Amino acid sequence: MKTWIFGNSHMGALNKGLRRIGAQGHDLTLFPLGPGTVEMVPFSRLEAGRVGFADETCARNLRRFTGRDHLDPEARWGVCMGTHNARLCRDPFWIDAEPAAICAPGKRPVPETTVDAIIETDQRHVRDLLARMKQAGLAVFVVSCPPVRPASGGRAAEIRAEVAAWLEARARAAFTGFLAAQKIAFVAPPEGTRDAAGFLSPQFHATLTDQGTRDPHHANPEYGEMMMRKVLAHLDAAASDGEGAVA
Amino acid sequence: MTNPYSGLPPSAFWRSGVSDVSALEFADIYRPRFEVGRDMAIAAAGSCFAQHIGRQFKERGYRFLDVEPAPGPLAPEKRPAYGFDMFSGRYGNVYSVRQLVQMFDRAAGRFQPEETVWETDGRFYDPFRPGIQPGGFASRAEAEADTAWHLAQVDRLLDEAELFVFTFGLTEGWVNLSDGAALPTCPGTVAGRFDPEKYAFHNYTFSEVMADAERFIAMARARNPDMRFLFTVSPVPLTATASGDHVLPATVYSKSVLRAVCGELTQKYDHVDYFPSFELVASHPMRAMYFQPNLRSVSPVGVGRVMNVFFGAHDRADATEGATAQAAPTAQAPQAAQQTPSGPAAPRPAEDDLICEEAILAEFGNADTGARPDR
Repeated sequence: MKTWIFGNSHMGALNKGLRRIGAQGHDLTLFPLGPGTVEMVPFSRLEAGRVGFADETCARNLRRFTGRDHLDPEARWGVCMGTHNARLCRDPFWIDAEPAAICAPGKRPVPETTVDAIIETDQRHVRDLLARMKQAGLAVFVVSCPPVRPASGGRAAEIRAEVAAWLEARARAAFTGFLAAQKIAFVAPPEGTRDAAGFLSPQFHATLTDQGTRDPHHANPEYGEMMMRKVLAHLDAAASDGEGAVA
Repeated sequence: MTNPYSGLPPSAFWRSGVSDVSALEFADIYRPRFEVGRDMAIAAAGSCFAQHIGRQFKERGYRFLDVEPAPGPLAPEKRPAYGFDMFSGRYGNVYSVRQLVQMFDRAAGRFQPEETVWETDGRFYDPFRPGIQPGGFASRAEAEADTAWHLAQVDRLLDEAELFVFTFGLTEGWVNLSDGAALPTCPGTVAGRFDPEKYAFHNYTFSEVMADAERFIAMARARNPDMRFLFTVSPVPLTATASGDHVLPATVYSKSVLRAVCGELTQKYDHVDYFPSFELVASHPMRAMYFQPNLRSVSPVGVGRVMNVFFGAHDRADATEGATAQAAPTAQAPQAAQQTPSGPAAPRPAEDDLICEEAILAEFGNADTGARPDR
């Protein structure tokens, strides 16, 4: 069974990791759907029982890499989206406001259900895609994006690390709760890739892009390799007993 | 022979002002007492009809204050359910002037109600804003922290506002018997539990509403001596009455009292103006055409009509005084509410976008990143 994995810019580290270890007998191709910004618009659609993309960048990449205008119902699909929490955790709103549960004196406390509504806002278009894929009967699983990295510069550095870590954990819990309700398997980040605070450990940080620009939030090929080993294990399990979940 | 009616404009006579003209074309039904300019800091509160007024001020480019702006990353369509983007603070509907006065008294530390949190099924609610947090607060501490922050922001409003717009909604209300705290809803409806030993119905009289309104004016002008006030009466009838009367005469009582208070305030104070939103929707020459079939809800067309009369009058005043042309007052004009980070979802850091595109192109050279040519 052909397996495609698509997603946001975190596909880069995954593909580098896959090149290191090979597909190990699986018919597997990774491709990018677009940068994380596409997750902020209604980028998918369901038409006549087929899932395609309303966003032009996504539609062009799907056609470019698969030759189709919709997701092949005969294939298995991995989606690396929905846990790119840097966007959420680094929003300047969290400079002056903090989740009420951990709010520091002088900051604006944001109640739990408001935080959850903000998280749902951030994830909703990815959730829509996944719900449409399930509705269309596609075999789908989700590959986690790397844990968020602590902000190292810019205005985001004014956000307390504890706040960013709390939001990352809350957002992941909300998303995996959604996946469980949809009966969609989730391949979580590998053990040992987080630091004590819950951020991606520094040894797995990408430092510079291939163009030499400082990279503040992607993981490196070492992380990609570890993650792809988990993905391949998931595919092995799926091949032997259907779409089993891998935590 | 002349008399005081000689030479009055057509709008002063029922025949030429009402019966001989279309209800859509009443001339001079609102003549502003003072100009409301786009650079004037405006605050608003009131009943549900007041939400339209606040929204229109923002959409038409006025300097509308919002001391509790919505979180930028919260979807705009979710914000009203959480009490954002409706008024100048996250206080929800304020139906009575007593409630308004007590809110500012609480904000200034002059009034501390005995009951500040309701618990229902393990969730916690603010009795003075019971609908502000869908599903309630997670804990008593969370509710109290939210209320404390809310009141601290509200306290700034009277210092910052140059015009306070209040829409009078109801005379009927519920009070806590222990301290007279005025509640926006009957306990047990939106949240809380009704206990006849703790709460009582109260139908405010003319003199009570008048005294509360004058108290509010005095407290506001003590903070800002130049504060002006624009009062309106909501045309929306009561959903239900607890007065024992039929809901129709109960509604007429309520609106009559509120309208009379506005009349006396306008006669008494030069810094008070009245805008006839009630008359424009609920008076009999309008033949209920701006109500929905339930004869209670105001249709979007009716809201638009009311707002166009208001802003049309002020735009004329702008033009008369040679005011600098501003953005056209259309519903699509950009939001100009003061404070950030409210409004549309906050823009994403451009640097991060570029990094993402680079990461994709570095690994998948033939991929489309949606990047603009100048990137």
